Amino acid sequence: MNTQTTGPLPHLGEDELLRFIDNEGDDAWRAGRQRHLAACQACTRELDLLAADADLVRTWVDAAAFEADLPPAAAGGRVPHRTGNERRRHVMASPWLRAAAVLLLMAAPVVAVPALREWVVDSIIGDGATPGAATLAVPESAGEAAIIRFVPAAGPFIVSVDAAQEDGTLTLRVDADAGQAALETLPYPGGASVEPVISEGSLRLRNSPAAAASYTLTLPASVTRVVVTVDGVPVADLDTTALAGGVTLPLQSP
Amino acid sequence: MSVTDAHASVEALFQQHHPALCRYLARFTGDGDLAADLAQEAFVRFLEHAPPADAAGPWLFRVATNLAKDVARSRTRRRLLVMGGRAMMSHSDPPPAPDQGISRTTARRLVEQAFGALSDKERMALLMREEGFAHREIADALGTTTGSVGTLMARALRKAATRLRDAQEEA
Repeated sequence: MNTQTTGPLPHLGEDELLRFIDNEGDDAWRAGRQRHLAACQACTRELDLLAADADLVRTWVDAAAFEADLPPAAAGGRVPHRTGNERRRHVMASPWLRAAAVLLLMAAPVVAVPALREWVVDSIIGDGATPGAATLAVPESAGEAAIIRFVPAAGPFIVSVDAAQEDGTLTLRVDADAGQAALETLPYPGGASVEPVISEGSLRLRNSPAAAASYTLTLPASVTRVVVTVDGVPVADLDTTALAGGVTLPLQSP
Repeated sequence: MSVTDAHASVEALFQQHHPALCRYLARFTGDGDLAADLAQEAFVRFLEHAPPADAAGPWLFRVATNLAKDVARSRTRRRLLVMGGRAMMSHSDPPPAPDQGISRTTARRLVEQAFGALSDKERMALLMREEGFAHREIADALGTTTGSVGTLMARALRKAATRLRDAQEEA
């Protein structure tokens, strides 16, 4: 920690340096620290070192991707990264939330908690009928393992699908319900993509930024595993049991 | 306010905090399934206790962290972030880690080692910071002051970064 002084100004403390890096404090506070930093090489150096440490830790935590092991229903949303003044601001819940929760509990004291618990579970599982969800349907023919119908919200996010089978070439087929213009297939690392048939067992789709058009992915019966990610965040990891059973998956746009 | 309105407000809060809480718990525990369970339990307790609305985030993260620590104690083992989780499920080819093309598995091991050297409070503070919480909110969750939590996080960042650099050089 930099505790020495230079001239009449004390050096900035570690907490102040991190607050500055994290865009904390009001304009007057930041302006004061900015003036000090402009005149103090020692503090500027400390600031740069701490910022580098913070970046390094973030990079490694992201690379470790512990959140990739969340169950598909619990996964979703991107890690908010702070850049410049775009630091994420938490929107506080409305002031009557407490009253709302109490009201819910008072409304049905006997069943309230179990009902709320069930509601929480339902909320985690999600609703496949709403935009931003992917519905995995039960196979419609013997030749298909499953059909995944994506109903994404409008946005430029990228959906990636990785499928596996025991051996042989795996072919995936994707069809946009409103025509191929509603989606754009992207070259996948290690394999080419051709609309609407994509081989190599993998595909990437760039969702239309304007339209929330749905599209359908058809999987052959030989598929043993399918992994779906949205902007790199896994949202589903399905084995043959899940594929055969039919489930509803959350697919949130970032 | 009608029950319907109340339900909607609670749902909005759930949607606001649930993804970040799950991600935080996955990193804190190193166990995705456990993280999902703990997040659900934290929300149930939130509804049962109805804490002040303007402290919902810090309250949820503090309770969830305590639940995680309770589980760790009850299992008589410490698996908190990053202390050696189970064999991780892999999604196709793991993405390369910073530099050197290190695998996700290796990155996890190194992060586990670096964070394993931190205290519970330091881990909690750093991971809440990663979720974008303000220093004041992190301080509320930890029951300390904004200045103290800033110093705590700065030192924890230096400590973790030093260990990661050392591990990177060894790798």
